[in-house]
Amino acid sequence: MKSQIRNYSLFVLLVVLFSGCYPGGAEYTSDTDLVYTNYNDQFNFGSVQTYFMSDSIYHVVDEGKEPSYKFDNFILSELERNFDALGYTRLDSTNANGPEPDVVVVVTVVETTNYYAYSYPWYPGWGWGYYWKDSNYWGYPGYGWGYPWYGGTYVTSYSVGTILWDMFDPDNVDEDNEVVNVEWTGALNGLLGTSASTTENRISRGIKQAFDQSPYLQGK
Amino acid sequence: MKYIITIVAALMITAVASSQSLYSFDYTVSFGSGETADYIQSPSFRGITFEGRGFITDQVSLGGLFTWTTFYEELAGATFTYESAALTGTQYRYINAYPLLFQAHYYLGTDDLEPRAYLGGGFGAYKINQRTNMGVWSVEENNWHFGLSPEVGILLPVSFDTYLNVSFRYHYVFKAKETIDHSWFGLSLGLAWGD
Repeated sequence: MKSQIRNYSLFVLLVVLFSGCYPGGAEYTSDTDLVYTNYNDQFNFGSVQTYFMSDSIYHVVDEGKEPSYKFDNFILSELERNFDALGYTRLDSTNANGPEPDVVVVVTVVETTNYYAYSYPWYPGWGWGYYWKDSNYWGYPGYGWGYPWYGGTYVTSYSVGTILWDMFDPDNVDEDNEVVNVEWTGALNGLLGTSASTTENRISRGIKQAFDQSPYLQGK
Repeated sequence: MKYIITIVAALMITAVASSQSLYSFDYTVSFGSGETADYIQSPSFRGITFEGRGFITDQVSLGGLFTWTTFYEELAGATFTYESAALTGTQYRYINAYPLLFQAHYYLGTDDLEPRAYLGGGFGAYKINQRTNMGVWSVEENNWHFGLSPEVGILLPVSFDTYLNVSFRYHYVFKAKETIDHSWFGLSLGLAWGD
């Protein structure tokens, strides 16, 4: 009996110690931020000097929901700031008789709610007090280990936002097949937060990262 | 794989139940190698090992082992490129490994009151869950594997039937489906006791 108590005491001690350092993961909405870019490696970005970017953003939302235009101006100003830093000149979009831009940038915001059946692993710290008091548990020392790879399931929902922009050359549009050939695309994707200042900060950092990871925009 | 698990379980139960037994609980630190280290470089400080051994002679034991080892690494703001695409974000990488092994050990010396070095090894089933979380996306491989595990160690007596157990073990796990070959070294420290 003494030996059994020692066995299980050690077992409890080690499991508790182990549960205390279970690995983490994303904690904040900003931890889910992704920045994606892609480009046409045949396009000569070094020749780009001017661009046109609309003053409005196209919004895609779930059916029945109203789009939020809260960050549109901020998104456009951040894109413009980064294009300026490249030396690109934004042309006046209201002047129909003005010069043709070298490239055109269009921006889309997608806001969707996803429903997700989430399977989570057993976290050893959960429910330990219950097992501690359950005398039957001591007869089944393997029971506590049955959970780690079975876990449980619940359904949750989360709102995901994507800011997407495409750059194309107006001289490289296939009008016969009605295809706009994209030369550069960028996208920011992540969970939507509630704080405006945090969201602006995430947008600002994401757009800058998109430009940073696209050195070819400078013709390099 | 279910045949391997059945065979391993039957051998373990037979060995431990039939003779003088030795049990141990160990804290295990693990170090990935090969493709495992390519995926997660950080060592694992989250490991626990339970062993049961039954002696069939004074110097030979058969038994079983169960380990839970978790490797984890956060790659903050890393950029991954593929052809012309680039993706930046924070990756959270996890490997949870649950070996269930049949083992055999040979002991140098027969005196329980003296330190006894041992060498041996095991084979059996490895349940390995490998998961990468990035953004709101997750990629997961969850499979049973077959693997081998040589080991050296030493039992240091601390009382009549209790020992300090120190062991160094290597796990090699063969790939299953689209997974990588997993391998890691485990250094265990714990208590062992006989009945």
